[in-house]
Amino acid sequence: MRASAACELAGIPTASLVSEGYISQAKAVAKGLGLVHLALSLVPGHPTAQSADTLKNNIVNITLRDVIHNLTQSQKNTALEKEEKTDQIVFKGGFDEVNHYFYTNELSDGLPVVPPTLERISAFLKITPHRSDHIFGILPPDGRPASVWSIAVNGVMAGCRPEYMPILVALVQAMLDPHYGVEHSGNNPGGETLIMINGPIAKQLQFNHLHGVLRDGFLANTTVGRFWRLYLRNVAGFLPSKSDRATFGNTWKVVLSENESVLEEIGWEPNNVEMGFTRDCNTVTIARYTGGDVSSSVFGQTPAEIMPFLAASVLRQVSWQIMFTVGQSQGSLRPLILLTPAMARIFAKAGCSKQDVKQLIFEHARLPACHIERLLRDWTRKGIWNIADEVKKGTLPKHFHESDDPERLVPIVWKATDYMIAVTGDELRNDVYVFAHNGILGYPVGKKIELPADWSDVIKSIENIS
Amino acid sequence: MDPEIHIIMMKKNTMHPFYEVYSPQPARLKSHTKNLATRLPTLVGKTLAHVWDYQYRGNEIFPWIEEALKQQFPGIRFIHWKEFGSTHSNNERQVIENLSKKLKEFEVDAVISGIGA
Repeated sequence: MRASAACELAGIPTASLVSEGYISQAKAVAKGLGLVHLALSLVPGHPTAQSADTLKNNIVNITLRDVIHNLTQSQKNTALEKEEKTDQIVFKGGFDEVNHYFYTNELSDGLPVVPPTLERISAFLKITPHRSDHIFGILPPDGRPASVWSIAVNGVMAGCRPEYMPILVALVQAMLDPHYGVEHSGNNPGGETLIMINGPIAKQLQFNHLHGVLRDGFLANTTVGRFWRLYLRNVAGFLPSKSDRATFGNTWKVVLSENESVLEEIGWEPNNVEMGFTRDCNTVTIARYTGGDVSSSVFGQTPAEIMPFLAASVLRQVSWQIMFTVGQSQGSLRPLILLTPAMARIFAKAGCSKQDVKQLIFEHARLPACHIERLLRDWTRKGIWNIADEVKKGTLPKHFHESDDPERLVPIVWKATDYMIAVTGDELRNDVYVFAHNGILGYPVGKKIELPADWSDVIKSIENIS
Repeated sequence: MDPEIHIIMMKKNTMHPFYEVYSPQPARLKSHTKNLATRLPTLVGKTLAHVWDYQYRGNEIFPWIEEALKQQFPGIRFIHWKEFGSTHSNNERQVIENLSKKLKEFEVDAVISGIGA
């Protein structure tokens, strides 16, 4: 749709081939691009679920008619309907009525929301140096402005405390970063964003980094995680069955915080340093994952004993996602591995840095080349794939084709530093967790959390309350 | 009950607080609306480009469309999708940014783009 929009804006008419199940999302995306009547040509059913004969018959007898019509018949140029300003009261009522209003207008996730009153919104706006009407950018697919005001309103609704506002602002700045690819948030794999927080602010605002670090139940971790999904819904515009076409989807994730005390003790750099910031810099890092799994009780007192199970755990989270390594978006797979402090200490005791552990995983987590080619060429039919050709063209690193042996073992990422490692969770357990990354459909992006000048006063006031 | 009276009563009821709330959804900016390109009077003798996201069997679908259009519109010619690169890859922003320039280079009159699925 974005390609078609670029052509139309260049004065060249387009016909966009769109499968039956994608029509509503295509219309929503077109609206967000400001082209309400972008011309769609229907492809009945889904292209990958049809025999060649059926598909050809559908294309020649149905799609072709639309293509000719789209290119030769004048299309409407309707302006978007005028929308009400958002700095006006939209509803008055009791708690249940307010919640009913938001839910029936598709503005909430189904859980009760905190009513965004002027008093509550103002409390959030006090803890940011930005004006309430400041706009950080326009969010696809809905094409709405990501304003400071909207961040505050959604923060209130999610149940956040006002002092989380600097984090929420940084998150929206990250959401707008083109490297992250928020426009892909409604695609069929249905990945969900994991937010990682680093720096002194994590401790100041009591983010959990111990037991149940991925579980709800901790105010800061839970409500900031919920804010992300509400903002995706209300401002970016991802609505289930409309612009959000997740086949199965995932629920929003609570914020992950690293155990920075342990990292300091063992001399490993925290995630914010790996993302290019200093250790004392407060940051958020976002990336999308389609799933993940825990490996419990990883036995071993040395890296050599641990690596087979750890590598197998990493491999278990990479299937079709290998397309982000050697397929259409090469070199963009960044699996995230969570190590408990107990696990990290074993590596550190053996003299391994965080980077050394990444190198070990890079060397041990490998798949037969024929399996990768089968995944992409035969099982998902995503296009035309041949590892040898890509290496010859120079679009893949040489280590993916060091021989013609189809059983040769190749890595699942381009380089060791593509792996991300975070140290968190129960300090004493020997477990690991591996997230299945979504490649360019949620590439890791880090942003600094800008604090207001009176931040120390804000923190003192929280300490006084607690 | 008169809505105004209902509001006054709700405001006085401390057991069931009354709220005046704002929308979490910012209004789209007026400048956001854009116009579609003018359509062609005919496809006879025109140059069409296939623009592909390298997904969902476009390599099979585009040739079928091309073959059928050639039968209906004499002089029609096509620019292959390979000339533009994938519109859904880690280079997609660059590919889309370069589209306008490339389409002009190839003197393209219209584009068939896909596959949204």
